[in-house]
Amino acid sequence: MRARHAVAAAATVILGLTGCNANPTAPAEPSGFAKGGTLRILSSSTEFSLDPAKSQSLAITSSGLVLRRLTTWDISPGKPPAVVPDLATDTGRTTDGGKTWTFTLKDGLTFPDGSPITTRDIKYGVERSFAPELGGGLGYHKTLLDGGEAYKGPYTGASLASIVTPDDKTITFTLKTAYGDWPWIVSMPAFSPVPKASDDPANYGKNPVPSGPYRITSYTAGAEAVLERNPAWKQETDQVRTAGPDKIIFQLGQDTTVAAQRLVADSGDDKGAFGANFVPPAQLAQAQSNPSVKDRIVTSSPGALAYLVINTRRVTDVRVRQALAYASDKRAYLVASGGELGGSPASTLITPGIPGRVAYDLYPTTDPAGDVAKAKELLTAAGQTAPKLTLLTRSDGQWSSQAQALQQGFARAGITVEIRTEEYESWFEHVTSGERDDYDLTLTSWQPDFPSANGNIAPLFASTEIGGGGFNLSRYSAPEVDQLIAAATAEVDPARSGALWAQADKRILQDVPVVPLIYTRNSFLRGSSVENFYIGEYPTYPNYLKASLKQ
Amino acid sequence: MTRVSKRLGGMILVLLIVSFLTYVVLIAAPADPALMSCGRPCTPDRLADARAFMGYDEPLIAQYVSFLTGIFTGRTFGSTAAAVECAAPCLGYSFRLGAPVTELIADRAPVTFSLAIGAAVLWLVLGVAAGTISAVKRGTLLDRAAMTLSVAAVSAPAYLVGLIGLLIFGFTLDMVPVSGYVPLTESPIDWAWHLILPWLVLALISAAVYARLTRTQLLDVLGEDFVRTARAKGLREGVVLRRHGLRNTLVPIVTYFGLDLGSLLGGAVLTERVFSMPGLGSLLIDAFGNADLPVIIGITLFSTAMIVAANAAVDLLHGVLDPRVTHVQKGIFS
Amino acid sequence: MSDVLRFDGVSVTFGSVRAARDVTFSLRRGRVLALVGESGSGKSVTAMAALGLLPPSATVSGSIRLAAAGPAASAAIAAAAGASASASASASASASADGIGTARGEGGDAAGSIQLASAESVEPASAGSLEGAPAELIGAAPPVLRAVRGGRIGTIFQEPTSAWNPVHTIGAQIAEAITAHRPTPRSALRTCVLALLTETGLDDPSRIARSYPHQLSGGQLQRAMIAMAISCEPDVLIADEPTTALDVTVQAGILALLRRLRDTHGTAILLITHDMGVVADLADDVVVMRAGEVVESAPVAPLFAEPAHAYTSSLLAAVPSLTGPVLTPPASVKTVAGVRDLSVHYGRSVRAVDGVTLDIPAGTVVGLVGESGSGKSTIGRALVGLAPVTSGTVTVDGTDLRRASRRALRAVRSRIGIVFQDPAAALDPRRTIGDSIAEPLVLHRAATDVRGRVASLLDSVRLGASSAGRYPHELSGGQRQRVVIARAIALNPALLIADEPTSALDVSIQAEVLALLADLQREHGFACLFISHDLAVIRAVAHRVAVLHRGKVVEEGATGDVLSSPSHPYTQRLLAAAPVPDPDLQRARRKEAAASL
Repeated sequence: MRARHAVAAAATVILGLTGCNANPTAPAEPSGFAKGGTLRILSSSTEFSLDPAKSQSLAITSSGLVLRRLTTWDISPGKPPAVVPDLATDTGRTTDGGKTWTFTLKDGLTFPDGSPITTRDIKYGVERSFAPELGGGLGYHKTLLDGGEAYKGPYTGASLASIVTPDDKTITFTLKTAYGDWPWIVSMPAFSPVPKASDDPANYGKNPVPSGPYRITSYTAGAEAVLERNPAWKQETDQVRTAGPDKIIFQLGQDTTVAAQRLVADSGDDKGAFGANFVPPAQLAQAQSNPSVKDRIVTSSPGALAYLVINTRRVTDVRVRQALAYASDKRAYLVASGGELGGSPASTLITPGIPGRVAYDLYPTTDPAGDVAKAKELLTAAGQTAPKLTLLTRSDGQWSSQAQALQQGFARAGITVEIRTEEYESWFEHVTSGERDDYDLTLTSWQPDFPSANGNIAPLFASTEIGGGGFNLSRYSAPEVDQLIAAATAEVDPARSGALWAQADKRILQDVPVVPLIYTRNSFLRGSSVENFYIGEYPTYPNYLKASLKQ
Repeated sequence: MTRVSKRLGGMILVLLIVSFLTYVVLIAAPADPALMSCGRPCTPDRLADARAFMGYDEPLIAQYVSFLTGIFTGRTFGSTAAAVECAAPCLGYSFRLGAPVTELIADRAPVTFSLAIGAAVLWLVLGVAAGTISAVKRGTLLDRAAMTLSVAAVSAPAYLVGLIGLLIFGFTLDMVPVSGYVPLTESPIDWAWHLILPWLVLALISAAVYARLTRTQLLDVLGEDFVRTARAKGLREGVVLRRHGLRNTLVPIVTYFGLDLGSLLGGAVLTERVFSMPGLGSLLIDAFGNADLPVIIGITLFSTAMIVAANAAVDLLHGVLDPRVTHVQKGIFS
Repeated sequence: MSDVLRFDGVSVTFGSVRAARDVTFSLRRGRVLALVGESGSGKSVTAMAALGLLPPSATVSGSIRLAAAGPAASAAIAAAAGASASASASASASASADGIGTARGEGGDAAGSIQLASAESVEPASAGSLEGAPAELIGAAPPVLRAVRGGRIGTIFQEPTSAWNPVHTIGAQIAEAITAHRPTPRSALRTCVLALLTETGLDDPSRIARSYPHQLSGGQLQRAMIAMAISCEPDVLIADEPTTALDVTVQAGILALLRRLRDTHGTAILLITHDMGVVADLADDVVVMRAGEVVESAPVAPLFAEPAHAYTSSLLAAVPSLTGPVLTPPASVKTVAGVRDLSVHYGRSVRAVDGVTLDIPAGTVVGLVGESGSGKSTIGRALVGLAPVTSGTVTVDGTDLRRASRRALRAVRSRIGIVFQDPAAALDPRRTIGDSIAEPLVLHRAATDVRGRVASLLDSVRLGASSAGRYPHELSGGQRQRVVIARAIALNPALLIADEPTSALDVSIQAEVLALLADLQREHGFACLFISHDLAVIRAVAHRVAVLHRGKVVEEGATGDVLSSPSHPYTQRLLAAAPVPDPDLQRARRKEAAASL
C-alpha cells in the first residue's frame, strides 16, 4: 500500500532540519557486487509472508529476492526505472495494439526440485490471485484480464480462459481493452510461478516455491525470517539480481527508533544491516550531525506526491478550488513535513522519475507560500468571500501538523478550515468506501505501484475509482478525462502514451480536484559493510536486489 | 464447592461480556477489515467477496454467535479447496497473518510470559526490599533518596527507559543483546540473557510503585498495636519486621501484584516493541495498525482472561494470607 | 516486701512537651500498683519508658531499675528452658502450671532472696547482664531491653482486638513470645501454650490456640493476652487499661484473673487506669498523676478514705456512683417516641434487636443500658429511621417512621437531636463551631436570626457566644461534646438521642457534661433516650432504665427500682460486676458475688 508508506515518509523529519543539506541522491556507480556474508534487514513489520497472490511488495524488495515474475524492474542510480525481462525473454509482444500480450519463458529455468518452470505455473499463480481467500495483493490485472470480474480463482475448479498456455514456454494474456503498460503489470508478485502441486493456500506465503536467488529456510512468526541461496537460480538468466549475500535475515518487529539507533551505532552484525523503514526524525537529525553516520544515510529523490484532496461534489465551484490552490502554503507544509529532507514543492500529478513526465505549473506563485491576493480575487468572483470547509485528516504521523500548516495558510485568504481527525483505519474507510461524503478536504499522498504515469493518474482520477474502495477521493468525474485515461491506458507506444498522460495531468489540474503540495523524500540508514545500497529515481525505497556486503 | 463454581461462573460471565463488547465496538467501528485486505486497486465486487469470505457480511449478532460457537467447534472460512480451517478453540482467524488467532496467541504468549513473570519477580523483590529499607530508615537521607528516585521511576515512560537502557547497555557498553527473543527451551542462558534488560526496565518502573506501596503499608502496620505487642514480647526487630510488619502488608502487595502481573500477561506493549520481542503486545499493536480485528478481539479476550484469572488467584490468596477473609466469606456465602 | 521495679525521678519529654516529670514509685512483689490519671496525665508514657517502647522522639531521664532475677526464679527459668521435658512429662497441663506458680511463690516471698533495688544499694548494671545487680533500663542496650520485654516484664494492652496480629493464630503468637526468650522444642511449646491458656481460665485451650484473633471475643483475647504476658513468668506485669475496652461483666473476670496472678505468682502488677472502680477493685497501692506529675501516692484504703490531695478528691467526687439518690420519673403519660415489637435482623442468624418494646415519655430520660452487641445503638438508629427494621413499629412525635413519606420523615428528623460518642468525628474540622451549630437551623429554615440563636445555644451549653468562630481542633473533647449538644438541641427537639455521649471523656469532664445534659433536659423538657454501658452514668441521668441483653429488653422500670432491686438475673449480674470506687465496699461486694455463685 504505497499510499500509506508515503504517509509515513512525511513523518521522518522535524522542523529543525530545514536548514540541513540533503544528501545527494546519485551515489557513484556501484563498484562491484561482492559475494558472501549475511545481510540483515531491520523491519518494523511483524509479518513476513511472500504469498504472491497476497503480496503488495515492490518488485525490488523482499518478494523480489525469492520470486521472479515475467518481467521485473531495473532500478539503478541516476537512471530512469525500466521494465526488463525476468522469467520471460522479453517484456511482452502484442500484435493487436495492446489487447493481447504474449510472453515466452527463458530456457533453463527450474524450481529447486529440478523440475522446469513452466507457463502453467505462471497461469496458476495468476489464477489463484483471483480467489477471495487470497485477497489483499496488488490486483491491477484482475480488472484488466478478460473475464476477470467474474472469475473467483482456481479452487472452485474453474480456470481463466483469457490466459492461454499453448506450450510450457508460451503464455498469452487477453485483456478486456488495450493496455499499454501491461509489461509493467506482469512485474507484479502475482505473475510469479506457483506449482499447483505445492499450493497450500493458507500457508504458502511462509514457504513459497522459490524462483529467485533465495528461499526461506526458517521463519519465526513475528521475529525473524531467514533467506538462504536457492541453488536452482542461475545468475546468467537474471539481469537485475546480483545475489551478493549468502544469507539474508529479516529481523521483524523492530521498533524504528531502536533500529535506527542500532544502525547509527553500527557495531557487530549490525554493520551488515540496513533499515527497511524511514529513519525517524530525531535519529535522522542525530545521524545528519554525525559525520561518520551521515555517509550511511540514503535519501531518495522527490517521489510520492503529497496532495490536498478537494471533494468536488461539495466544493463545486472551480474558482473556489482554484483559490484553494493559490492559497495553499506549500512552504509551511514542507516545513511541517520536515523541510528539505522531507520533500520539495509539487505542481504536477505525475511524479518525478516517472517516464514521460512534463513539468508545468498551472497555478504559479512567486512564493511557495502561495498567492493570497489571487485567491481572494477568485473567491470574490465566485461570490464566496469566506468559505467554511472541513478538512478530514488522520491522527498518525505528521498529518495533524501538516493540516494545521494548511489551515493557517487558508485563513490568510479568508477561508475557514475546520480540522477533523480520525484514526488511520477509520479515515481510510471514510474516504475510500464513498458512503459518507461529508468532508470538503482531506490530505494524503500517493506513489504509483509501478513507474508509469498511468499509476499516477488512473487510480486517483478515473470516475470508476469513486467509492467502493477506490482512491478517487475527490469524487472527480469528468468524461473528457475518463476518455483521455482510456486512450492513454490503451496506448502501447511509450512515447505516445506518455504524451497522453501528460495531457491528462494538465487537463485534470484545470479542474483542481486536488492541489499537489510536495513530492516527498524518504531517508534510510545502512550499516558500514553494506554496499550497493541505493534508491533509484523511482520508487523512493532502496533496491534490495542489488545490496551486497563488503568482503 | 459452590463458591468455586460461583467464581467460575462469574469469570465466564465477565469474559462473555468483554467479548461481546469488544465485538460490538470493533465490528461497529468504521475501519473495515475487508477493505484492508481487498488489495489494490479494490473494486466493489472484490470487496463484497472479501467480506463474504471473512464472514463480515452476516449481521453483527450472527457474527458474534459464529465467533462463540467457533471457540467450541472450530470454524471454516470459505467453501472451496482453499477454505481456511480454524480448529477449536478458534478465537478467529487472521487473514493478514494467515493463522488462527489461537495459534498466534499460543506462539506469542511464551515471550510475553517470560517477560512478564521474570520482570514481576524482579520488581517484587526490588520493590519490597527498597520499600522496607525506606520504611525502617524513615526520614533518613536514604529513605528520601529512595522515594525521590521512585517518583522519578514511576513517572518515567517505559518506552523511554527502555530506549535509554538500550543505548547505555546495548549500544554503548555492548553488555547485552539489543533485540530479539530466544525460547527458553532452546537455550535457557540465551533466554535470560536476551530478557535481562527488558526485565530490568519493566521491573525498575514497577518496583518504584511497589517500593512506595510497601513503605506506606509497612509504616501503617508498624504503627499498629500488635507491633507494639510484638516488641513488648521481646522479639528481635528483624522478627517484628518480618512476622508482624511485612507479613501484614502482604495482602495489598499481593493484590497489586496479581493485577499488575495479570494485565502484563496480556502483553507489555511498549517494552516488547522497544526490545523487538515478538510477544502479545507487539502482536496487538500490529493488529491495531492493520485493522486485524480477529487478532484484536482474541488478544483482548485473552488479556481479560488473564486479568480475571489473576483476580481469582488474588482472592484465593487473600483467604490464605488473611484468615479474616475466609471467615467473612463463609458468613456471606454459606 | 521487695521492690521489683523502681521508677526514680523519671521524666519524659517530646521535644518541648514534658509528658512526665520526676515520677517516682516502686512496684513490689505480689502487689498491684495503680497508676491513675486522666488522659494526658503521662501514666502510659511513664510505663512504656520502662520497656523502652517510646517513640524515638521521646527523651527519657531519671532511672528505672529492675531487680536482678533471683536464684530461684533463674532456676525456674533455666528448668523451663532446659527441660521442657518436665512440662511434657507431667501429664496434665494444669499440673505444670501449678508447678510454675509454686516455684515463683517460694522464690519471691518465702525465700526473700531477691535483692532490693533501693537507690543506695544499686550499682549500674552492666549491659547484657541481668544477673547480680539490678539493671538500669533507661538507655539500656537493645539486647538487655529485649530480654526484659516479655522476659521479666509482661505487658497487657488496652484494646485486645488490635493488640493481636490478625494473621497469626493465638497459639503461634504466644509460642513466639516463649521462644523469644527460651529455645523450646515444638512439642513442649504446645503443651506450654495450652497450659498458659488454661491458667488464664480459658475453656477449650486447644481451640483458642488454633483460633485467629477475629474468631474470639474481647474477653477471650484479653485472657489470652495475659497468658502471653505471663508466658515467661515475668516479675512484673504492666497492664495498660486492661479492661477499658471490655464489657463490665467481662471486666470483672479479667480483674479477678489479675488478682489471682498477683496472689499465686507474686507478680508485681502496674495497673494503668482511669477508672476509680477498677482501682478500688484491684489495687493495693495507688499513684495519682496529673499533667505528668505525681500528685499523690498512698495505699488504696487511705487514698479512697481520706484523699490527701484536692485533685484526688475531685477525681473521686466526679465518679458517678451507684449509691445515693436517684431521679424520679415525672408524672407523664404522653409518649413522645417509642418502638413496638421492634426487630432488626441482619441476615438469618444475626438478631441485633429482637422484639423490643420501649416507650420514651415526654420530659423523661430513658436510660438504655447493655453490653456491646446488646442492640442498644441499633434501637437508637431505628428511632431516626437509620436501621433496617425487620418488623415492628417505630413512632416518633406521632409519626410512624416506617410508613412515613420522605417529607414527613424529614419533618420528624428535625424534631430529633442526636449526640454520639466521639465528638471529634461528629464535627466538620473545616467549619467553625458556630457554622456547625447553625447548620440544622439553616437546613430546616428554623430561625430568622441564626446568629443570635447560635449565640444563645452556645451560652446554654456554657461555651460563651464568643466561641462561635473557633474550630473544633481548638477545643478540648468535653468542649467539643458541648458543641455537639448545642447543635442537637438547636431545633428544640422533642427527642434527644444520646449514644454513649461521655464514654470518650475523662471522668471529670464526664461529670460536667452529664450535669449539663441534665440541666438542659430540665430546662427544655425534651424526652431523651440515653444509651450507655455504664450503670453509674445511667443512674446519674436517667428517670427510667431499660436493660438490654442480646437484643431483648430483660428489665425496664424507674431507675431507682431497677438499680436498687433488680429482678432479672442479668441486671443483677451487671450490677454486681460493676466495680464501685470504694475499696472496702468493693471487697464486700466481691465476697458476696463469690458466695452467690
